[in-house]
Amino acid sequence: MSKALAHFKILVVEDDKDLLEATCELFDHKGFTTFSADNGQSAGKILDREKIDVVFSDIQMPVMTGFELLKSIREKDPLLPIVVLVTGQSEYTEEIVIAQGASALLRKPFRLEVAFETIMNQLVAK
Amino acid sequence: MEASEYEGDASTANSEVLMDELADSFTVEEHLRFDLIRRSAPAAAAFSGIAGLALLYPLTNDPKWLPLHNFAAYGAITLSLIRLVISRYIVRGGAPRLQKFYGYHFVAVVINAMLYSMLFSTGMAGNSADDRLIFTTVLLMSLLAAGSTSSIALDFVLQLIYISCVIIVPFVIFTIWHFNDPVNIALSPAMILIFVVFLLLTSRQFRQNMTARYSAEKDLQVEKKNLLKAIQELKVAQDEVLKQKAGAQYSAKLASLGEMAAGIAHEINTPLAAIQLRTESIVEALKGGNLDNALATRQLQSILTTVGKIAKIISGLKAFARDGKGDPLECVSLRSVIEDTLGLCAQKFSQNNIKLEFICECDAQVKCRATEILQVLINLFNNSYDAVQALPEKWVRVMLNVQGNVAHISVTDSGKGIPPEIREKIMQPFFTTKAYGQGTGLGLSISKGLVENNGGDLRLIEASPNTCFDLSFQIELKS
Repeated sequence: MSKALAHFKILVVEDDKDLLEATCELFDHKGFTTFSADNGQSAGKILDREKIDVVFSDIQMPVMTGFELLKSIREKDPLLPIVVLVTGQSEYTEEIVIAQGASALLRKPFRLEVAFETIMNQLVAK
Repeated sequence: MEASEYEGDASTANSEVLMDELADSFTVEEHLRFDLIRRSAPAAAAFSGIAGLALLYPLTNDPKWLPLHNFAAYGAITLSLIRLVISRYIVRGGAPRLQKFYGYHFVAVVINAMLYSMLFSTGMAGNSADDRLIFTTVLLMSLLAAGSTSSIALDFVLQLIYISCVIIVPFVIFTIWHFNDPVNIALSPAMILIFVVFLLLTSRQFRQNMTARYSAEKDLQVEKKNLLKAIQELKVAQDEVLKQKAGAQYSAKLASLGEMAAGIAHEINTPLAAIQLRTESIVEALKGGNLDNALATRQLQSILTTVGKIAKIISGLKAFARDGKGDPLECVSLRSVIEDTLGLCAQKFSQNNIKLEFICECDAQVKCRATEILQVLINLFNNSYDAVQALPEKWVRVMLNVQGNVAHISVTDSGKGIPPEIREKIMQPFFTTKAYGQGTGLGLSISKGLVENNGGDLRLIEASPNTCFDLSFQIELKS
């Protein structure tokens, strides 16, 4: 499984360093090739450089918010799967984030399995 | 009637005080009657003395009239005493007794007057041989009649009956008795007429004066009542304002709590997500039997750090949410209060690209209620947050330093200061520059109050090129 998934490149964008590290470690562990960015701007740079398969991004971030990142990605690539993360009590619903260009929504805290399944679904859909 | 509550009060001093209170409910007419009763007692005592004198030195030397003379004198003394008792009784009992017993007093005075009339008539009759006795009788009659101008003049009918009895009847008797003396017959009616008219005019003046006085008192009474009512209403209004102020303080607190809530949810859920992921990875490794010791230790260490982070956020929130008004002043490290506040606000600032900086030159222990200082700091931070949001340069700097015996916390933001024309108003309640619904206008006024309650001071540093508020406290311990 590890070897098969290694082809898939995931970009994790999260301003909380702890969560960023934990998420990256787990996706690595699952076998994905993982890239990390702590804000939208550095995520943009990685997207320019690498051929990313799925973006896994927080919405509330400094420098460049998740929505700004969504917009800049969609300008270049309308089909790239983007899973956005919002906090549990956030007023953002799936409809809102999808209307903004996201592919799926995850609420923090989330189960690893759910995150994995969401990403797999996005990859299959792609 | 409320006055009956005071009936039977034995203490004279108390009775007099209560009388003033009871008198409040009197009409002008009742005031006059009550005054008459009050004046009646000493008059009755003095007039019984006249009857007593007549017993010692009879007004008649005619043995035929003497029994009637003595009977009248004893009767007059008795009735005077009855009048005295009734009037004292009414004076001590107030309004209800006045209404019940005024009639009895009236009758007692009339009977008393009739007995004096009889006494003086015996002095007028049968004394043809002795002008000295007639003169004495006339003198006593005059005294009695003159006395009535102040004792019973307030009741016109009563005074008229009185004067008729003690003056007119004896003179009629005199006239009849001395009909054969032309000088007496000519002079007496004229003198009596003048005297009676003089008495009645004097009494009328007295009555008018007293009526005017009691009317004025009555008006004053009404004024006093209105004034008391106004004071009462003012007190109620004041209580209402205080209540509203407390409510406003609470809603201002809730508002700033609400402003933070979204940031806090994010702040807690994010580390929770990290914990969840790390825990699940350990569980998975355990299930698969491939748990790497070093990896597990690192994961668990991270989890512990993250848990600590969440606990700190919650402790800050708890400190803010509770009402610390009743807390005693305690020695608190200002540094820890600032750090707690930063823990609550940091996320909100960083998400909006506002640099939030804390420069701690040295810590200081201050006697205060940490909750209230935290509330003030959050309020200042929220104001700064709103102020710098639209600016190209966004930063807020908190500085803790100590000068001599005073600790200063300054909160400075990248705003360009408060315009001079509103500087004086910013600490006033309900003053706000924020859009309708954005701010209550209570933040700074409540903050100032809270800081002052903690023995500190909150002021705007006008000389600063940026917007800067300074909180100062007397130091307990410097560290």
